[in-house]
This record gives sequence, C-alpha cells and structure tokens, in this order.
Amino acid sequence: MPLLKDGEVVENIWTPLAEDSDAVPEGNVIVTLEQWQDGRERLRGHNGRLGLRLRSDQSPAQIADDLQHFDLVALEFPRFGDGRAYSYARLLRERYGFKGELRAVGNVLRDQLAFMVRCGFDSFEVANDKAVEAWREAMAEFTQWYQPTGNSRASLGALRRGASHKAG
Amino acid sequence: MYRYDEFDAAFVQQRVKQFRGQVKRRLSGELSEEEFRPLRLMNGLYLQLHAYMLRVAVPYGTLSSKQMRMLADIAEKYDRGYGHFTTRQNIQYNWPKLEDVPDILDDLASVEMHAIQTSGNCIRNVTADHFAGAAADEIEDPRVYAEIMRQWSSLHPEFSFLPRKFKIAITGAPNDRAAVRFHDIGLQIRRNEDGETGFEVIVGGGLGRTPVIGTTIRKFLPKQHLLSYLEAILRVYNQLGRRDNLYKARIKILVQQTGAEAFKDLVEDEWLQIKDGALTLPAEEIAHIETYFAPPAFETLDANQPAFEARRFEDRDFARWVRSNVTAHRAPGYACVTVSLKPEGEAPGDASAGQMRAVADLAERLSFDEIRVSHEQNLVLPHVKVTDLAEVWETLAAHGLGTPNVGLVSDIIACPGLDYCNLANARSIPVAQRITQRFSDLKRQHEIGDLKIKISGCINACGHHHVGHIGILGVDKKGEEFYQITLGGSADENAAVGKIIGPAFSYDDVVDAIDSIVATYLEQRREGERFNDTLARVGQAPFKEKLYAAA
Amino acid sequence: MSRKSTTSLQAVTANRLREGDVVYLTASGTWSLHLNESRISEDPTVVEEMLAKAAEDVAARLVISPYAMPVAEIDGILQPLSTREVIRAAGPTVRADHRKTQSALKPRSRAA
Repeated sequence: MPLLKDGEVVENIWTPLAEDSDAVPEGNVIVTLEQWQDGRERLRGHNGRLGLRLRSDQSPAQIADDLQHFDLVALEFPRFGDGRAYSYARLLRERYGFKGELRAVGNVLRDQLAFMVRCGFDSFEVANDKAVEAWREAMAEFTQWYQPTGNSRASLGALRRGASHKAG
Repeated sequence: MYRYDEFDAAFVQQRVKQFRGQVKRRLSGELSEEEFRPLRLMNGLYLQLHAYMLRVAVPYGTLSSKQMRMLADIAEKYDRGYGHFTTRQNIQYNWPKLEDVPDILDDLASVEMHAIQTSGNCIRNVTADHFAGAAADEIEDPRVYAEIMRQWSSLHPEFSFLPRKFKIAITGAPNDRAAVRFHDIGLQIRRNEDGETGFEVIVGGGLGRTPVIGTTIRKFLPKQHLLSYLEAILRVYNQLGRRDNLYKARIKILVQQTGAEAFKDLVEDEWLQIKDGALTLPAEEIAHIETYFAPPAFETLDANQPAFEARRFEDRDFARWVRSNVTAHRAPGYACVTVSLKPEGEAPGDASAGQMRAVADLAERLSFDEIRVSHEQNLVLPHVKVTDLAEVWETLAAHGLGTPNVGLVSDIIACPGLDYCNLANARSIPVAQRITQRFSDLKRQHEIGDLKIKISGCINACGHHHVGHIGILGVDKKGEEFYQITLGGSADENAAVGKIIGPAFSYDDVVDAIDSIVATYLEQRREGERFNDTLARVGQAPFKEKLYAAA
Repeated sequence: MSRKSTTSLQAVTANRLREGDVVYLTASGTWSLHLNESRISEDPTVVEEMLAKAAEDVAARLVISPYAMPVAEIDGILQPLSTREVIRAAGPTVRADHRKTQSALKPRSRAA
C-alpha cells in the first residue's frame, strides 16, 4: 500500500520487527506494544530509530511515559468505522506532546484524510493510488473548521472573535 | 433565530460540494457501496424499503417560513409531494433519487439548511424543547446552547467515527418537553444558589432495545465549560464504547457496564485535562449566539382578550381546539399553537407541500416568521397573538391541520414502520390510523384527556413506545404482525419506562385492546387523575383483567 | 387456488443505484419494477447464477443490495411470502397514491 506524506508518495523506510525474532534488524524498526513491553531493555539499546504500532484497542496512555524512545507511532484503523485512533492521535499530540511522525495505517481512504490531518496525523498508508491523487483535493475541500484541534488551526469561534475585534 | 454568517455558509456549501464529489465517485465506480455507505449516511441518506430516504436536519426543530417553503418545493420537485416530520425534530423525504441528492442539498444550502450528520455513527441533531423561547415556565432559551453544540459537533474530526450514533437533547424549563433523560447526553438548564444558570448533565439514557433512564453525572456545570465537558464525555465514549457488537455500542451500555460513579470519574479525569483550554466558551461568544435568539418584539398586550373569550364561548369547535392545541406563552396576550399533523386518515407526522406552505404563510404573518417541529411529530407556531388565534385556527382547519387532538389519544407518535423502513417487523402507521378512527369522536377524546400513545414497528423504538403512557411495539410472530403493549411510560421529568402488560395482540385485535385499556382507565380514574397516576394507584391488574378476560 | 411448493421458489431483488427503486431480475437479465415479471426458480444452482448476475450488475453500478427472496405463484401471479416483501413489491399500505399499479399483477404468461 502506498505511503503518503506531505502529499507525496514516499518510500516506507520502516521495518516491522518480526514475531519471535531474537535479533533486531538494523535501521528503523517498528515494534508492537507487546514486543516493546516484553523486550524493552533490549530495544532501548537498539542503535537505529524505533517506531511503535498500536492496535485500535491499545490506548497510547499505556506508553505515554516512553514516547521519547519513538520517532514514529503508527495507529491502526482496522475498519472505516473504527474511530478510536482519532482520539489516540489527539492525545499523543495534545496531551503527551509527541512530536515524531504519526502514521495512520490500515486501508486509509481519501474521505478519512482531512479528519486524520486535523487530529495530528502526518503520514498515511493509503488503500490505493486514488487517495494519492485526491490528497490535494481532500485537503482543499474545506477552508475553515468549527473545532479547535491540535494541528493549530484556529476554530471558527476564535476567528469570529478576531473578526469582531477588528470590526469593533 | 440563528442566521448563517459567511463561515457557516461556506462550510455548508463546501460540504455539499464534497458530497457531490462523493456521489460522482460512487456513480463512476471509484467508490464501492461499502465505501460509499458510511459517507452517504453522514449526509443523512439511507436506503430504505422502497427507495432512498433523505433526512434533512432541522437544528433544534426551528424553521423560518422561507425554509419551510423550500422544504415544500423540494417535496414537489424531487419527491412525491410530501415529507415526514420525525421524533428528532427533523424532516424525512421517502423517495429521492441518489443522483438528485446533491441538487437537493444545494437547494437546502441556499436557505441555510443541510442534511449533515442526520445519520451515521456521529453526533446527530441536537434537539430542544419545541416551545423554547416561548414557554411560560422557561428559565432560559436552550437553543443558544443547541446552536453552540451544533457548530462544535459538525464534522468534528475526532468524533465522526463513534461506536454508534450519538443523540443530545437540551431543555430550558423544569417541565422537560425534550425527553432529556432518554438521550445519550441530556442537558437541563438549572439555576444555582447564586442565581447563575448552568447545566445539569445527564448521560446514558436511551430507548431502543434496552431502554434506560439517564444518570446525572454533574448537577451543575457552568456554561463556559459546556463544550470541554462534552468533549470529555465523547472522548471517553469514543475510546471505550464497544466496537464488536452493534447492539451494545451505545454509551448507555458503557455507563451501565462501567458503573455510573466510575464512568463519571473517567469523564471528570479527562475533563480536568482540557477544561479552561481552547474549548472554553467566553462570555462574548455566548452573547454573540444569544443575539440570534433574542425574543421577538412582542407588543405589550393584555392577558385578557374579550373578543377571543367571546369567540371561545360561542364556538365549541374553536374552544375545543384552544383547549388541546394552544399553550400558555411567557408574553401576555400571546400563545403557542401546536399544529396537529395527526388528522384522521393520514399518516402521523406527514405534511403535504401545500400544508407546509400554509404553515409557512401563517408563520410569516402571525408568528414572527418562526415554526418549530416537535419530537411528537407535530409543528408549532410559537408566538401567536391571542387575538389572531381564530384566524390561525380557521386557516389550519381549511388545510386539514386543525384537528383538536394535541396530547390526546389520537395524537399518536408512530415510526414509519414496515410500510417504509428496512428494519421494521410490523406496520405502525395503519395501527395508529385505526386507533384514531376508533376514537374518532373528538368530544370523547377530550373527555379522556391527555393520553400519549406511541407506536414502534420494531425493537429499535424510533416511535418511542417505551415512554408512551400506552406503548405499542410491533413484533413478528411466525410471519404475522403482532403488537406488545406497555403501560406507564413517561418521557418528561418523571421519566419512566413502560411495563409490558401481557401477551401480544394481533394486527386485527390490537385496536380493541387499546379501547379496552382506555375504558378501564375511565372506569378507575378519580376526578382529574391522569393515566399514569391512575395506573400507579390501581396497578396493572384491572387493566389486565378486562384485557384478557374474554379469551 | 393452486399453490406451488413455496419453500424453495426464489426470485432475486435489488434496488436501482441511481433511483433507489425496488426491482426484480427478469429472465432476459434486465431489472423490472414489477415482481410479476421476475425470473423465478426452485433450483439452487439457477438461483446462484441469478445472484451472480446481480453481483455483476452491482459492479456495473446498476443496482445495489441484491438478495434472493422466497415467492409463491398463485393463479399465475407471484406473491412474496413475507409481509415485508409484499409491502416492498406493492408500496406503502398507508398511502394509496404510492401503491404500484394493478396492471403489474396480470397473470404470468409462462412459468419461469
């Protein structure tokens, strides 16, 4: 599945750590929560970058204190309707201060992209190339949103206050 | 009422354009039905028994005459000349074509209306007291906050893929006409000891398969914290609500399984992290929205209107209509008129394009251009001068809208049922019609007095049968339509879920059963005693006895 | 009144994608608004073929949500077996102006 970042298809430079493997490969490695919990000491010694992949039933609250070890967090969207990771993303960005790459994985459709961006995701494992083409359109569909969220867009309320201050 | 500013207008137009693109991609094959379905649901477009069904949002049930006229135009141009007003204050069209829906949405956008989030697993229309801004017992107009919540919930990026639908209701009066205790979140405006107004927050109420009365998790929430508190509740729900079982995914199940106290702690813990943040409502923002809901320029009138009294004295039909369909207003010399959409022989809650226009004309001339949709599937003209009541009545009657039955036995709430709905097990509309026919004598209806019958065609309870004084639930028994009867439900501040009275009745027998129940009530009641009070006093036994006697 | 064995006689129904109308698959592979014009069969293999044809038409964006439904043939007129499908075939029972026309219920000229 293509990996979309900043509107471009990019190469996926992350390798998932195989199950039951003793050796940690070189470079950028993604681990599951279980792998992290079982092999924390070993993994902390890894001399490449670490990424973490969470299932939709795994809240990032569980690793909030360990986030400094990860350059990437990947959150799963197993079904279009499973929206838990939108909350997880906002918590990672706005509560736990995660500044690394936040990736949405699992068949992301074009119609989810705008919601995801507003929750703090910056890369997407998209379902197909159509999502890639549609990226710019999807980002441009709305010029303003009602809600303040972590991607630092001011909400309408704030804008209106700004507008009324200018007028008044 | 609220008027879109340039931001709101742009938002709706962009949403329509987005949906137009989604329809195009569906019709070109780029999107499969599985991919399109959640997208069309977020725009209120269902596939029902006979056709698509489009549910148009009427935010907190408030409409202008211009908007009502557009609803009439849409009914004629794109549908079959009528619409259905729902138990969540919205309107449904039963026959739109998919390819026409983007044009319908464009027409709606031109009058500041839309179909956003009237379906799907997202936050739905925030409903409110249909007498808001007019009722004599109101503390504050709840629609100010309904509008604030509407904006906050529109395409909320975090809460558009919830475990299940999410329904919020708000009332501004102690007499709860919005059924707040039966919503996922219910809000009741309260005054604290310092005289400030804020919200009682009630969570986890609902009807459906498992009716539950909501739990108060906060007795008094100051206004500026409304959105941050709601966000905390939704965030807890979005993370912890069940995703594995559609029938156990509502927040009421989460509250029950977690326990009310533990649930409250989860919410309050989350809220502590975000209160006083970006979602805090500054006083000026509330004041800005309040300006849209300022009371109209009521004239200073006498409460006593001799011409009206004389007419009422002479004209029995007028008097009867006033008694059932007219409610006291906060401004002397004014009244709230409920327009009955329950005439004999018609489907409850349906209105033709012609009827919609008649109501629009009356509203424009005689009700400060305001109309409300009540969750009991009637319309309301909220601000009518007492001296205009006779004219209003005559005009309504000429259009089949003057039946003097509001709150009475033929003012039945009925879901669309098996005649329209994919989910139904039995028909509900013809049962409502036959009950109305049985009680055709309006004099008798007035003698019986207030009696709420509510009918659902399946266990999803869209007809709110659990909270009817008499509730009727259609079930499928070996391919035949049968009806289970419950007694003693109530949607107001004395919230109660009705209890089953005994074995179900066939389609042929159910009307006799209702007749029997009403007869028992009349026999047993004391002077002025209402149905639920009689039931509470004598219990179900006398009702059962008569009902199941001649077996 | 003769009644054929009802347990396995099936028709295939769906909704038109663009208009939403209820339609029934006919022997010629088109979709008709009228149940009485639909192809019916007791043979499960044939019903499978019909559903496969319906799936093609879903992919071709003609119809959505196809499924097989049991019917009975009574005096040459097809009747659904469930109340739900009766209503779906004929329109809502509560509004006479939206019932399908009676001409659709002419007896069939041949067996399916």
